[in-house]
Formats: sequence, C-alpha cells, structure tokens
Amino acid sequence: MSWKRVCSVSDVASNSLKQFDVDGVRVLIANLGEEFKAYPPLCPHMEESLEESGICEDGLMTCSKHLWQWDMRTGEMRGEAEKPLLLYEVKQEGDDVLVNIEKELEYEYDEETEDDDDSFWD
Amino acid sequence: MPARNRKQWMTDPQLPRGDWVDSRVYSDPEIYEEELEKIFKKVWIPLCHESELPEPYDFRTATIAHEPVIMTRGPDNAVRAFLNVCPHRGMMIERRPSGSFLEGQPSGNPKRMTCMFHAWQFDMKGNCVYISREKEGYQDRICKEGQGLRRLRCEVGMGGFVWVCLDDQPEHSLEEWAGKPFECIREAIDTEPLEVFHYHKAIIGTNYKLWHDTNSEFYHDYMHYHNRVTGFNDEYFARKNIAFDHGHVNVSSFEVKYEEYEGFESREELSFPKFPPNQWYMVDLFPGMNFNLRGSAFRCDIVTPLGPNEVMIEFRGLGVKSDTPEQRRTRIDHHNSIWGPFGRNLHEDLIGVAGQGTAMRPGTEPRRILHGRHEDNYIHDEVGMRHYYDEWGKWVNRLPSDPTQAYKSPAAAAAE
Amino acid sequence: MSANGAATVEAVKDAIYRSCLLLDDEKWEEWLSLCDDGFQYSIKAFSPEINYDMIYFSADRNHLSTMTEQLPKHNTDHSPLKRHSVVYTVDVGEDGKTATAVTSLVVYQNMLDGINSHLDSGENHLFLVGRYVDKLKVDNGRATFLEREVRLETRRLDKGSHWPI
Repeated sequence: MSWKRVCSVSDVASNSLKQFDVDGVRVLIANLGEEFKAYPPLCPHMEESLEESGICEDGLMTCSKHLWQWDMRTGEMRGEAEKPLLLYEVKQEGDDVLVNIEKELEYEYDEETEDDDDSFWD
Repeated sequence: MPARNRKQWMTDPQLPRGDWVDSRVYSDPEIYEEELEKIFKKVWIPLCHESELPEPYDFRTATIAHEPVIMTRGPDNAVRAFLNVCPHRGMMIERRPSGSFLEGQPSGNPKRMTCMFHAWQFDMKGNCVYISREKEGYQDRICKEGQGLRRLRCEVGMGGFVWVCLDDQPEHSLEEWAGKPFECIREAIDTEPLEVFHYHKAIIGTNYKLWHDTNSEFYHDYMHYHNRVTGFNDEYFARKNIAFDHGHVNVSSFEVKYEEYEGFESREELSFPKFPPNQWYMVDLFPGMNFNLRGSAFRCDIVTPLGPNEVMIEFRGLGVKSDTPEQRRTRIDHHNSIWGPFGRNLHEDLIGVAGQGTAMRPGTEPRRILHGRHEDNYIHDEVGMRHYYDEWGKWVNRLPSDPTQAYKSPAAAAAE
Repeated sequence: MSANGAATVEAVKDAIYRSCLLLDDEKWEEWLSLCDDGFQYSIKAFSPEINYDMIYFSADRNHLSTMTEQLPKHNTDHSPLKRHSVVYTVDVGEDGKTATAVTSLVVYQNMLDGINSHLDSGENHLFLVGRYVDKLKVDNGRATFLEREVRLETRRLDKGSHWPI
C-alpha cells in the first residue's frame, strides 16, 4: 500500500477535474460531489489531457476530442469509448484526498510505426 | 554609336549567342510555368534549416512550385517531408509557419498532425493514425492504413539545411547535386551545428532569375559606395568565378579589409570552425540559392518564384549554435551592417532587380540582356550567368538568346 | 500623479512626437540632437518562422550619425516614409528623472521611385507595423532619448530601407 496525499478537498470543485503531480506521477482527481475518484491523466484513446479536454456531468466523463465516454465511478466504457478508464484507489481523510499509488497506471497506446524501408522510394 | 533607331536596337549583337539572353526568359508566363514543372519540381530545394525545427514533433511549412510542403521532426529525431495536404478533401493540414505538434491541436491529439476539418490525424512519419468514425462511414472500403500522407524526398545537409525534392527519383543525390560547389566551405559549416538568427523576406516584382543573376556577378559592386571605396584593389580583382556541373558557381576567397571602411571594426577574430578569419566564399546554386560565408557571417537567400514577374526571397543569417552571447552578437552586427534589411547593400541590390523587373513585364518587347563580360573568369567576368543559362536552356529545352528555338549548346550555336 | 510627474510625461511625449516629425522629414541631425550622446538604437522583431528574437539593426549615436551623413552617397529608394504614432504609456521612474514610453507605430511608404514612378508614385503602402519602446531622461522639462527599440511585427520587409525608422 502506498497512500499519498494528493490534494485537499477544497482544491477540486464539484463536478470537475484537476491534475496533480505526486512525486513525479501525474494523477487526475475528479470530484463527483459525494466522492473523489482518481485516474491516469490522459485519455486511453490518443493521449489527450483529460484535465483540458474532459467534461464531467452526473458521473459521466466525456473526452471532447472524439467523444469517448465512461462511467466515472467504475471506469466502464459508455458511448464511443473502446477502452475503459483505469482507476486508482482513493480515500478521504479529513480534508485530504489520498490516492494509493503503488505503481503508475498507464494505457497501452499504438506502438511506434516501423522504421523506414530502403525500398520506400521504388 | 549614339542612340539607336528600332532596327538598330533590335539587331542581334555581334557576340556569341551565350553572351546574351532574350528578356523573354524573364517575362514570359509560359516559360515561368515550364520552369516550375521542369526545374523546381525536379531539383533539391533547401526549404529551411534544421535549427528551425530542433525538437522531436517540431514542424516547418513551405512551398515548392505550387505545392505546400510540411517538414516534421520525428521522435526518432529524423526530419521528414510531406505534401502538406490532407488525403481526404485536400485541405492544407498545417497553416502555421512553424511550431510543435507536442501539444494537441483543437481538433486533435498530442504528437500528431491533425487536419482540423474532419479531425483526421497523422503521425510524424506520415502514417494516417486516425480517421473519425472510420468504420461507420467507410466500412472496409477506405481505412486509415491506406490514407498515409504523400512523403517527399528529404535530406539534411550542407551545413544543416533541409533539402526537399518533389521528384521521387531525383536525377542526383543531394551530395552529387551540390557537394562540389559546397566543398570550399563544407568543413566550416559541417563541423559544428549551426543556428539561424536572422530571417526576413522580400516579395519583389521581378523574375527570380534576375535576383540570382545579381548573386552571380560582382560588376554591380559599382552600385555600392562602400564596395567601391574599400574593395576595388588588387586583392578584390584576384577573385575568380568557378563553374560546376548543374549550373552552379563559386566565387573564390580573398581577404576582406573591413577596417578601410569608416565605421567598421576589423572582423579578424570571429569566424567559423576551421575557416580562416577574413576569408570569403560564395556558393551560387542552380536554380536560385545563394550561400555566402564571409568571415564571421554566414548568410543565404533562397528564391520562391511566384510569377514570371514576382519572386519571394527569404534571407537567413546563421551562426554556430554554440556561440557565446557575445560571439552571436558580433555575428548579428556584422551580418546586419551589409545584408540586414536596414543595412547597406541589400537595399541597393533589391532596387536593381526591381528596376529590371519593372522594365521586363510580360508584354514588353523582347530585349537583349548582355552577359558578355569576359575577363578570364575574374570577379567582373559574367561567366556565372553564361554558365547558369546554358544549364537553364537544357532543362527547359530553349535557347536562352532566342527562347522560341530549341536548346543548342554555345558551340553548336556558334557553328551556325 | 504629481504636477512634476505630469510635466515629465508631457516632456516625454513631446520628444517622441517631435522625433516622429523629424524622422518623417528626414532631418537626421535634428533627430539625433534629441538623443543623448550615449544613445542606443535598435530595430528588433520576433520571428515565429525561426522562433528567434532577432535584431535587424543596432547602432549607437555615432554610427547613426555616420550612416545618415553618408546617405547621399548611397543608392536609395526615395519614397518618403511617414509615421503614424500614438504614445500608449509613459512610466516615470521613481526619481522622476527617467521614463519609459511605449508608442504604437505605423509607417507608410509614399511611393515615389520605388517601382514604376509613372504608375505608382503618389500611392501609399503600409510598410511597417510595430512599437517604439523608448527610455528617456528628463532635465528641466526637456526629455532626451537614452535608448530606442523599434520593435517590429513586420518580417516581410521587401526592399528594406537605408533610413532610420
């Protein structure tokens, strides 16, 4: 278990997202009103910053670039999404929001394409 | 003979045909379009310098002939060039002159080029990595794997310039094309990375070749006061023009005595790696690029023809990337005094070619433009132009002294 | 602002506008007489093309004097350059004796011999857009230029100019 304090309760307004850096690991905190959630900072589709492009409403997050959506409580896919959101464990202690960051959660994005072929120009 | 009547004016000079060109080579709209098709779309064009896109995901845009081009630096640090055109409906993908794709565009994501129109995305190698609602609209008929960008030949070289060729099978590699004319300054510009510190542009109502002619000859030093008072001595006249294959020319070095010109300090201290101070070399590349290394200042200018009577010239000044602030400041000051837009010579050179352009508009009568100075290839010899137009004539298959005729070599023309 | 402060601001504006009139009329010596002996002048622009803050020209008072004296020996475009400027801000130093001013600058070229005088003389072109960023000292109600930076937006300079901007 590696619980780390990420921010205070008042740092993230209700129904909004904010990104924090915790010892070099970037974490996205969401305030759903009745609880806090934590995710990796980028959209699983194409590395978009969710703090910038994510829109939250009633527990549903939408990435405004290609309209992928997720249930914010579970990370389950909704709408256009083709990959689920990963979640960190979160707990609240008094005014502090803590996240269990044992290992940084990362999505697998499309691999770098192959190197150029000598025969490309033939 | 004093003034001439029409018949006398229109009579061909008693000179070999290579010693003059017909003004229609500078003013004819059909010839202009042929030059774009037959020359600019076939040769290596230096579009920018590598220091203008230094980091992975940086880009720079330009044009060749009528085509928009984008250069990108990949995460593998390699520079690649593509047509800056979306394969979907032909929009220009990136409109800015330079920048970085590290941050996403409004319609797209980080590390990708995004066509804002329908959000199609491409990576730095030109792969199409995203088509919005691909399956829904295209089913299996069109997929992103088949919608990559049009990649163009691109090499970085000759002092770190980024050269692009629109022809997939250029007749010569960059090294074969430009290696020999650059030899005189190659070490100076290839030893350490360079950096561009000056950029400005001019759009002038003249033909691009008239600007290049001014880079090819020094007889016009008569228009520059400071050249006359400081330069016309034995050392000045000890410079020669050297012709190379493909229409390129060098002007060889001599020692510049700046202290003779009131208001300048000697430039002996600062130079380029392995380049003796106070040396001077000029590289004129066909069809219209000039690289000029003079003591502490390295400059280049590159033409983009816009019409038979319109050209954009981009002016750059370069230093060594590792310059200290003082060294860089010295280079900038030396560069500006002569070639800056508010300096001495450039203004006068541009007045000269603008005046030529004014008098050679499409529709003016064909006139003879004399390239007939012969002085054993010394500095006021006009061999630079004769060599250029002989090459030009082969590319467009026209005789420079009468462009209504097919090309023939000066020897063949003389025999007739 | 104190009465002194207001007078300083007025002196600064007066100097700036006078410099514009003198430069417009190509009265170089008179313009330089508004400048301190240690006057530093530069023309700068940021280039998004090469991502570099460039110095297009710089000179001290002596250099400017030599340069303008030699003008008759140079081939130059004679199309007059006329300025339209508005002093945006004047910030007076704590001691009340120096000031920094930012002036919006537009320079028009009134075509004369530029291209084809028969056709285009009498026409006006926008030539340069930018700002004067000036540092002045004020003594006895008179402001003198210590420094002028001509901060240009323009990078398409066409033939450029032999004249101080």
